Amino acid sequence: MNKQYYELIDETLYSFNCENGLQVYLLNKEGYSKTYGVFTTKFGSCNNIFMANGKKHHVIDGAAHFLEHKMFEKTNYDVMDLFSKQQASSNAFTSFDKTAYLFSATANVNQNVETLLDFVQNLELSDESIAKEKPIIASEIMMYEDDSDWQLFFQSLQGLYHNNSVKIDIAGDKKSIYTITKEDLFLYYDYFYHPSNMMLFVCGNFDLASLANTINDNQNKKTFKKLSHENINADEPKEIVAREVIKAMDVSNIKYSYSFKVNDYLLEPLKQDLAMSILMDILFAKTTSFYQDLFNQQKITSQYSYTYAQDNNFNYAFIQLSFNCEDDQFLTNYLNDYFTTDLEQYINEDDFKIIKAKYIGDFIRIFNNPEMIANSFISYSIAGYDLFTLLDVMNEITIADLKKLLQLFNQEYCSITKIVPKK
Amino acid sequence: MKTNYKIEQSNKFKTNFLQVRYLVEATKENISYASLLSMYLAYCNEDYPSYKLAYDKLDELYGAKFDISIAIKGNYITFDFHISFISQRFINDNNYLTELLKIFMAFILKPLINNNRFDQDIVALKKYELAERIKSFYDDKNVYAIERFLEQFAADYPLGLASAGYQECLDEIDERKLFAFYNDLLNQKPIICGMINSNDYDLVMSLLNKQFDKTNFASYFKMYNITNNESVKTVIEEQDIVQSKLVLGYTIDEEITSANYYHYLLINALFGMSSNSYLFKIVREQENLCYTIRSNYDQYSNTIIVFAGIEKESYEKTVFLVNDILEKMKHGNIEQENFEDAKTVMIDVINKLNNSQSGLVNYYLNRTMQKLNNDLSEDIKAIKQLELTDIIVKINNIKLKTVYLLSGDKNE
Repeated sequence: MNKQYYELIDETLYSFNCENGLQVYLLNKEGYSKTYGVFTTKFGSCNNIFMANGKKHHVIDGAAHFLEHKMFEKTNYDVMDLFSKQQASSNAFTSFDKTAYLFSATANVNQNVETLLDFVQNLELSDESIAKEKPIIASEIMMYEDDSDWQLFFQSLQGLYHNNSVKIDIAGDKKSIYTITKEDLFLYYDYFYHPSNMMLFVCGNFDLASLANTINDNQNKKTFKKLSHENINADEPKEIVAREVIKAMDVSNIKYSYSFKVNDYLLEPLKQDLAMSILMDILFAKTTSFYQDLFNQQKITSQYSYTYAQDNNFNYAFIQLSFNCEDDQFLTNYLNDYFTTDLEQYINEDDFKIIKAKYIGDFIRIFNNPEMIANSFISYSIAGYDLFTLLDVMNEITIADLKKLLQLFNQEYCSITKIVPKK
Repeated sequence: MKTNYKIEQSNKFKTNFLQVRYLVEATKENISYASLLSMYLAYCNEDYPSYKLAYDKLDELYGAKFDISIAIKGNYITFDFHISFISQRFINDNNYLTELLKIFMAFILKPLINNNRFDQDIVALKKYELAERIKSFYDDKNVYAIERFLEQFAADYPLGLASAGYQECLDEIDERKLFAFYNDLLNQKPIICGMINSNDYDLVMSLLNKQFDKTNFASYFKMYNITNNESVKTVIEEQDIVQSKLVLGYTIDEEITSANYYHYLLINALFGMSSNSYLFKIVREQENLCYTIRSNYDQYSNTIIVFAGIEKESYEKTVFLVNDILEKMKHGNIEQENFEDAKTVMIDVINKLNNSQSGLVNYYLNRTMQKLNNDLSEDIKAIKQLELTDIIVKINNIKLKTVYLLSGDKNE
């Protein structure tokens, strides 16, 4: 078992690989009553084409999320009930790049980890149970169809991407989920749920040696088909799809997003990810003249956000600023003007120093919370980064790096999305 | 709690958490004032007289998280100033903690004042922000449905008040009136609660002692029951949405005490609190009528509220099933195994409070102010002792009062 002590945060991470390729990470939090375990496969909504045995497979939209739902169904026991009896609660989520199954327990950690491994490593499907699940998932999709913020986010990705799978809603749509069959799900399961494509992170209060033994014993008892696959990304042109996307919903104000498709890595991926976050804070935080000017003129409301997202495994990166406004034309003119001015004038050493201090605090804060530790570690790890090196990489970022990234706000790749009130 | 101070020492967390609570009587006017005041005070202060100066300072202090929360609890609106900040043991700067506490105190005690009133421009800006927030509830259909339901279910009770206030009250507020409201608030002795790392404790305590008097603790919430003597009221509202939102409200015909509180916690756990509950297992998993269904127990008004996202055509069937589940529970149709599972779920939920500083602080404060037990281990003991027959008797005190449907007209 590997052991790594991190002085700044006073934490020790233990890790090992099981013989079947499963990567295991254990972090002890003394004094905590709760232990959080998360078992993650690198199978999310963005995995929509893969090669296996020389054959190209297309994954049906929403299939990763559908599989997540079905994993909880067992003929001989109820997963949720079993966790409850063991003083734990369980849940799961699917995102662009992963499906994660989790438990949170205040007792019986070893037993709960085994339950987690066992229920995810045994898929039971029948045509009837798949048919039963479809209306439940359709209801979930309908819930998101009424969520104007969710719609704004995915409509803006539709405006940016022609083929990239990031534009597909994580749950799919009502048509796609009704085409999913038992055979489809078994196929995806065999390839993506192989232990070598998965990670287990347990964080909380437990006996380290005993838990490591339990995990190893559990995995050694099981056999898996020797299967390998290769993820394929659809070709994506540099150009955006549409300069403007408009959707009408039953809302009171206009929900507006101004997005840039990012086609280039100007820095190392992790460095670019962090530097873009810092740059966006310097340019767009609520403390900036950018936000204050718009808000003080009452041209936008306080429902405002900005984000930079990238994933080099799936070849996407985008910048998104989201607003709530009444006068969308004013906002478009304002933003078009803003992004054609010299943005370097807004970058200064004082703000850079302040934001770095905030990031140090935010990094330390992660280690208060077992869920945040495990989920952050796994997210960075799937993207190919190490959570524990974030501050080292951040310290390498210079003002010159931030200025270099300004070219990513390129209006040639800019798309506007509006959710407008129905007349 | 003997005095208005309760500061625990704990090195388990890497942060410290401090909360200073004031109380206002829960009325339609006061909730509007409190909402606006919380936005004004959280914007800046005399020491840091702009939003940028104040929040750059918090960021510089290693991303300290300051905010003001207001909530309706019993007959009061709680007005909580709270800050979460990294312990000095991780920071190589001796002035850090002093500066941190200075800005926290400035947010509470030194608001920006011009000529004996609040700053006119900032008040105008915050009135605009609050008006937009009130308006935006319409856009979140789940929140909208619950607020509209509460208006019907708990009219004339604090629970029925709009959580962010009312436009008509907001129109009447100006910078002088808001300043007067602040002065009334600050005339109270606040209740101070926190969890502090031991090496930061002395400094934090000496500063708090300098600013706030220690007094005997005497602030309690008055809890109430909603009367339910008439026939069930059904309200159906239509909007152009895809999924319909169903809310059912149940009253409990018994005054809440430390003796019966755990009964209702467990009844709610069995009924609809989690994925082990009857509502989840029957309405979602067995009948496939929805993705979301849950029930919440509000101990301040002694009510249970059920929320579900459904298809319009499933409305009658869902309402029937929800009520049928409760009726069967009243008749004792509860498996011993399900009852034991519900106890384990509740014990797990209580134990998990130990891992959140703000959760622990608010648990302690709210329970103390409700005159209920405020010790997690006592909660667990009380739940373990309950028998199935104890709670079946209590289920018969639960009665449906209001059914609300925000109906979509786009269902397929």
